[in-house]
Amino acid sequence: MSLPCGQQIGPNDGEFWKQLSMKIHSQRIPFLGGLALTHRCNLSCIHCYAREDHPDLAEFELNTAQWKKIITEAKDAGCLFLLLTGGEPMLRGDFSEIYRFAKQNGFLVTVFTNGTLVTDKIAGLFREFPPKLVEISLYGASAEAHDRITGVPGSFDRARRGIETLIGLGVNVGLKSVLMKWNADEFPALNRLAHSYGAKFRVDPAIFPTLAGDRSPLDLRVSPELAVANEFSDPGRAGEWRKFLDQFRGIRSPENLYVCGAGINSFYIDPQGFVFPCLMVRKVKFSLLSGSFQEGWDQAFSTFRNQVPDADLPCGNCEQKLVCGYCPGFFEMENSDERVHSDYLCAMGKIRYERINSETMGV
Amino acid sequence: MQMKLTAKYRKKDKIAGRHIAGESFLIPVCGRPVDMDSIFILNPLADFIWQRLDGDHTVDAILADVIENFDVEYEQARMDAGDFLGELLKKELVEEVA
Repeated sequence: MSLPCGQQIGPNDGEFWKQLSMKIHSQRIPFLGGLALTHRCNLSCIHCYAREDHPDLAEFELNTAQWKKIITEAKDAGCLFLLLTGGEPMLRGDFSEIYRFAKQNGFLVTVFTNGTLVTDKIAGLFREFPPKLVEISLYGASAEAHDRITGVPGSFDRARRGIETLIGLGVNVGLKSVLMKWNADEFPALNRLAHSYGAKFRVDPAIFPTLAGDRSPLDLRVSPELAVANEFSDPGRAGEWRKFLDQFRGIRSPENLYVCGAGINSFYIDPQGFVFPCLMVRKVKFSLLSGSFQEGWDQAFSTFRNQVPDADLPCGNCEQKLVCGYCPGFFEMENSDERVHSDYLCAMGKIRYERINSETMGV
Repeated sequence: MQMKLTAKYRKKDKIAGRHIAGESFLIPVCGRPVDMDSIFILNPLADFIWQRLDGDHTVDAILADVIENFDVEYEQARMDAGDFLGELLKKELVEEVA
């Protein structure tokens, strides 16, 4: 629909979003936010970074009123895109209340969930207040494969019921997965499953240690070769990368250590009310129990973006930096040091770069 | 649209107004799932009118404010406001206050 005196904007209005993005960036507006409402989960996924084995986690979580206050403050600061995630966010008894509050306050809300807790109440909520997107994690295309990773028998069947309920309502559902040794053979079937639902499907090969410092998930990583091969099994992938490379090649990368939007246009808040520049940047944080969102945004994040990389960080002018997934936050998660690059990302970047060049030669 | 100048309108809760980075957005709250991917950007005149659809301002009062704040003739303002209000009513985004 269109309105006189105005303009309807959709996700494909690239020029509008590009111009807006530049304004958001230059004015340093926290446009994109992620709220981890809880780290509790009804599943026990082998690779999960949020896995924390404390039975009393709920005790330390923000309550409903505290989340509403933060959401209001984030709204006042200019946040538009809000992600509700976990753990499993629907495990909270007040999920519906927090979700509805965010919607009624004019956020574009995305929910990350394992899909197993889509009750009639949740379905009714999403029918009345549709989300922008619900992304559901599936780790295999069969109960055997998925449940082996989640550690909970029946989780695949429940997730499928959740997916089908939401799709039946017309909700925009996306599926996603994490590529790991345990499920590397599942991806053709997962792709077909997503296709059968008419849902987008994305894969993340980037497994990292848990937030509590347990490095055992790293053992689940597939080789960089396999990770890239899996990515390029999508016939359109090389072309997308080519377009991306052509757009940004030659544009001088900022000389700062961080070159992304963390603390510039985006933030992440954990279940206890600490706001971080993003999920992966753990050193810089501010407790929203001790001050407002705007104070945290203005005070805590103002200097970390000024850091410059050490001279011996090999990423500097590396052309593959555009395609490797360069991320000092990732470095910190992997190496406990944001200034020590990731061999894993670097290896993937090299292979990916070669694939892009070889597959799009002459295009 | 022919407007009653004495009428008062107020926003319904199907859509939320936001101001970010100098832009005025209307964000869908309820409605069809497929509409959740689209937002509206209002120009300054439409935003000015939208802010006054609070159930307290009559259309006449809004037009008076428009003329005072924008370089526009009364007739043009009446037509623009009429078009805008007409669309908002058609899409059930505002309602007349009794």
